[in-house]
Order: sequence, then C-alpha cells, then structure tokens
Amino acid sequence: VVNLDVLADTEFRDQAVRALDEFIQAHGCPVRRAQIQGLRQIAFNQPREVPDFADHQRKKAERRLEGLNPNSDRAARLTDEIAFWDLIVHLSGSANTPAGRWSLYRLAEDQAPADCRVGKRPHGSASPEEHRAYREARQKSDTWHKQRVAEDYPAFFQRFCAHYLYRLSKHEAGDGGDDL
Amino acid sequence: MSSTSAAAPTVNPSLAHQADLYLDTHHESFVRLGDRLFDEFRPSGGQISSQVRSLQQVATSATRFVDVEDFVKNQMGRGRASSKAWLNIGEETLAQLDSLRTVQAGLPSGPRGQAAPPEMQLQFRLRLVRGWVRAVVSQYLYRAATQDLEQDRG
Repeated sequence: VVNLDVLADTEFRDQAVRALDEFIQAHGCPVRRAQIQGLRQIAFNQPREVPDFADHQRKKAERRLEGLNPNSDRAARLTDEIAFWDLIVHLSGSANTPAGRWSLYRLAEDQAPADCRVGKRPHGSASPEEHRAYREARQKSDTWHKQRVAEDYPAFFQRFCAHYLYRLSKHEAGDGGDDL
Repeated sequence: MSSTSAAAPTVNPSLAHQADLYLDTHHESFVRLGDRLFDEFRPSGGQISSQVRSLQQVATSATRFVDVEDFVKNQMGRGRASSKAWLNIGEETLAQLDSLRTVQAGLPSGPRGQAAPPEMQLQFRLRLVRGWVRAVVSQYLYRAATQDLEQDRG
C-alpha cells in the first residue's frame, strides 16, 4: 500500500526540488509562467498526457530554433527550453528509463506489489499456463501503472511547478540563486 | 494495489508533547515572523489580509506539510503585485518551514534516538505546522488589534 500523502510530502518534494535546482543551475529558467500553468493543468486533469505534452512543447521549441543563429540569445533560450521539456519526459520515465535514474515510472516499478511485476516473456514453446500467467501479470502491471500515473503525476508536478515558479520569481528579481 | 491518504490528523500523545516542546522553544522566532507578516500584509478596513487568512487556512487543513511550502512558493511565484510582499517575506517563511520539516519525531516509548515511521512523522510535521501558524497569526492579530487601539486613541 502506497501512502500518497507521505510520498508527496517526502520523495516527490525532494526529487522535484533536486531536479529543478540542478536544471536551473545549468539552464536558468527558460520556460514561461503560462507554460508551467499548462503543465500543472495537464498533470491534474490528464496526467497520462504529461509526456506527450512535454514532447509537443519540445517539438515546438525545436521548430522555432530552426534557422536561428546558433549563437543568438534566442537560440540559447530555446535550447534551454528543449532541455526543460526533456527533463519532464525523463522525470516521467518509461520502461526504457536507465536503472539508477529516478523517475515516476521507476518508482512505480519499485513499489509494485509482487503480483503486478512482469517477468520475462515465456518462450514460444512454454506451456499455455505460463503464457496465461504472463498475460495476467502484464495486465495487472498495466493497471498498476495507470493507477500510479493517475495519482502520482498530479502530486509530483504540483511540487515541481510550485518550486519552478518560486525559482523563476527569484530569477526575475535578480536573486536567482542559479548557483545554488 | 491501492494508495491511502492521511487519516484524521491525530498524533500520539508522546509525539504531541515533542511537537509542543519544540514550538514552545522556538516561539520567539515565530512571533518575529508574525511581526514581519503584519508589516507586509497590513489589515485594511478592519479586515485581516486575505494572504494571511489563506496561509492559516492552508496550514490548518493541509494533509501534507508540503502543501504549506507550496502555498508560499506559489504566492512568491505569481508575478503579480501581491507576490512582491511575499518575495520580501517568503524566504524567511520557507526557512522556518524548513526548520520544522527537519525536526525528527522520536519513536514513542521506543529506544532513544529511533525515528518514528513515515506516517507518524507526517502527522508530527502537521502538528508542528499548525502550532507554527497559530503562533505566527496570533502575533499578526495582536499587532492588528494594537493598531486599532492606537487609531481609536489617536
């Protein structure tokens, strides 16, 4: 059983703060308030769409980058913005997330009950029972991950967006602490 | 295959005592923050500032300590006129919240130095933040009442 309040109060908060402080130290605050409000709304209302939303924003920034002088300030800002949307995709994670790298997907995997863990796909010559057991485990795992996305994404990105807005306001006030 | 939210905010009596001791020891710094809140968010027309009321409301009803931190960060990050006052006072507020967050609750009637489980720590933090906001807002209200009295005399 996952206690979402404890998770939101500890790991989500700590990971969001860590990821953003590291990011801002390297890239500053390249994303506008309205974009963060958009991310927050998507995370609340359609949490499963967060990675697609980030990917869409990333592609928009890439299109705007095309044809720009790579040494211009605008190109530098767009490059930083692309890195920001990459960060969102990495924090969301997927089955391909490298081991050892924190992501919401990896956390859900680590917390999955035993019957929601999927082993290796059975060989073609395996018994029908083994195939059926694999399919059932796969189904339970999918259900588990959907539930975690529905609950974890709003809780995580609420922390993430609040910390970004806080750092952005300090950045704008010239007290960015980008060297935190 | 499920998750839970924090149950009713009850705290073991031993943890409640630990929290009250901490709050009592640090009361002076909470009073100073209440003074600064008063300077930044002056009551107007006999009404206390909606910012102070919201802070109190969030701290009193939160099921997660981080909700209070996020409230302050969101207010600081709004990029509007009201966030200017929060920019002046937000860092100190967050620093006090950070101090509360780092207070570890010991395991009730357990071996000395052994930390309580995470759910208990959360309830402990919630107890702390409610006591904290009570002290801070009480000082704010005291200053507001004093100001009213002075105005009446003047």
